[in-house]
Amino acid sequence: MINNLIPGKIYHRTIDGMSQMNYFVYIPIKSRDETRIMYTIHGISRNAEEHIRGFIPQAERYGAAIIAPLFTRTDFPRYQQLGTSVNQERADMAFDHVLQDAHEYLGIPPAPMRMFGFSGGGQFVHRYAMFYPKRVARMVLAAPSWYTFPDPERKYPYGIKSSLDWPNLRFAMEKFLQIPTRVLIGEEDDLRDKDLNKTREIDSFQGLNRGERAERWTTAVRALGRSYDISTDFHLEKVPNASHAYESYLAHPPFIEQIFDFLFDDQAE
Amino acid sequence: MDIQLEALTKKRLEQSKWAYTTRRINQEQEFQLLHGKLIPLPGDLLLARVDEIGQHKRLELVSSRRASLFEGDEIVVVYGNRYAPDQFEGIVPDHLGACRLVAAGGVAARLLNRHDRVKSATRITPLGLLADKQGHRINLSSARLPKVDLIDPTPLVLVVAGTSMNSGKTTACANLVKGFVRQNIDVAAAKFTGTGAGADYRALVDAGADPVFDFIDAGYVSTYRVNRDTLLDIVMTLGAEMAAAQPEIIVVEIADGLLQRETARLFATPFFTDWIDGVIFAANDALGAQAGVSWLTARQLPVVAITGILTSSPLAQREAEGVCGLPVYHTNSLARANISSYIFSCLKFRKQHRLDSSKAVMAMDVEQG
Repeated sequence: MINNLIPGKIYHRTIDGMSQMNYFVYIPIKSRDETRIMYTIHGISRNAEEHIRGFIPQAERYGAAIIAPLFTRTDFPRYQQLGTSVNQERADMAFDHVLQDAHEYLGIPPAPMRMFGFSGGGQFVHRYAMFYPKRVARMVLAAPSWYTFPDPERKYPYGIKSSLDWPNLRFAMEKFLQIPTRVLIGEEDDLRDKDLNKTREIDSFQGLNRGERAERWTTAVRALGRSYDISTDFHLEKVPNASHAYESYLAHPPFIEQIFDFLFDDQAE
Repeated sequence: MDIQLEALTKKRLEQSKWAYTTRRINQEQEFQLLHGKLIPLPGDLLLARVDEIGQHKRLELVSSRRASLFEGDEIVVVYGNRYAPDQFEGIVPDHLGACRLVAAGGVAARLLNRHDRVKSATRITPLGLLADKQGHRINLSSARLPKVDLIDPTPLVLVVAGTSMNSGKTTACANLVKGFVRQNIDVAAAKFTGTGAGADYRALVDAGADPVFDFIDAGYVSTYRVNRDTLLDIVMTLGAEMAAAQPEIIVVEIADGLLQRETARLFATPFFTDWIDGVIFAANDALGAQAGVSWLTARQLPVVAITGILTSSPLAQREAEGVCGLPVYHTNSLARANISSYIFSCLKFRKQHRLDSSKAVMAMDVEQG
């Protein structure tokens, strides 16, 4: 039991600070190890609690706690890109408050994280991992609309070049490349729906739909890995019959299993 | 007598146009003209008269200025073999008879082949070999840098190779140098193979490399038809000179395509390949990039990125990245500090990784031994 939280129950916690931050926690009934924690980041429907509910059976089976921050539309309109600029609405810093609170209040030990993100959450997770590669042990990105490419010629958030909004960026790509990563894309997530970013910058460089963009991003990351002579573990997998709706991914029974299996694969008993 | 020596006046020599390839020869010394039944050797200097202007209407001088040529001009050039798929193939003749100017940098040769799209090579008549006051013919080898046995392994070494002549290698090298200089990284640079050309050498100087060398500094006017020992001599001589200047990184251009005989030989020379920390491959198209990267990786060479002419096309760039599985950098972007910083960190990481691995192997050997 972590700091007297009753296992098997979802807790909602609010942290007050510069802006209020909410998160949800679930402690499994059969916890194996306090370091087995899954961090899940919602998409633009901001369904953090729903993420946890959907993951409970696996959380129990894998003996893993779940933490799901909630980035509100008002405070973090562009949480997917970690903020609107280096000084504004920094979702990564808000997430750090969640981590600190989880550590201080709930007694959750700090350790490299096993992270999952859906859609906008997938965008958040890979960018967070680029900024803080040492903090991420493994990640699963499901259905991100677009990505930050490891391209020093393009300005952040399209690439890793500094800009007026994001000056003095330094990415330790050799560390990022060592994070085992799965990109999961619905087999039918190839529509140019209303939520897809369709700017020319992204269409021309990343592709016309989530499938193409995922392929090009994994290719680019693996290419950089080859350049550094790092054997990367970045793979793209298709989710049968899934469109872009979160429910359609959940409708594929092995989907959640696949996420947990990958995130905790190296911690298998 | 079969061989004659003729005095050369200072004025005549001063009026002659001295080609770039003669840049290491002291023009202030006393010269004589040696003619008759002589067999020229690669690297021999000759005084020649321009008979008929062809493809090369200008001669690159020692200063790299391209001076206009006129019929009747006297020029000081160097006998050499020339390999240029887009221009000429030429070899050193076995007599001092009429021959051709086969490279703008000042190379005299017997013409064997020419590309359909170039004019016939400029015709010249050798007036004799340049000789010193003792009557010994002057060869570039007489003014070369000293031979060495060791290269300080400290600096990182980045090699640029390509699919062919005109695939963007020289531009890539100059831009890489500029990119590193923009990060305040000390760079030395050299061209190890090819035919003496001032433009290539000056591009590296202009970009800020210091020191800069080419094979002329090792005593060779070109590297076409040289043997493995000569290639090794060039690597050792220029590699040691560059490393002695203690740069943080050395940028080396390898001329022509990987299929060119001397280029292929060089990449089959273990001393050279062991010295390299990374290769950037310049290609004209995605298929060429794929073939080149496969060729290099099959020889376990550390290819780190692709660049070259193909990068003018975003679609070709995308194709190349997909098929080769390597980053593709626009040739012009290599001059930007944000690109070169990643290339530099990639090379440093690779070198450290290589050193760590060899230490681990050595430790294992000690344990087992």
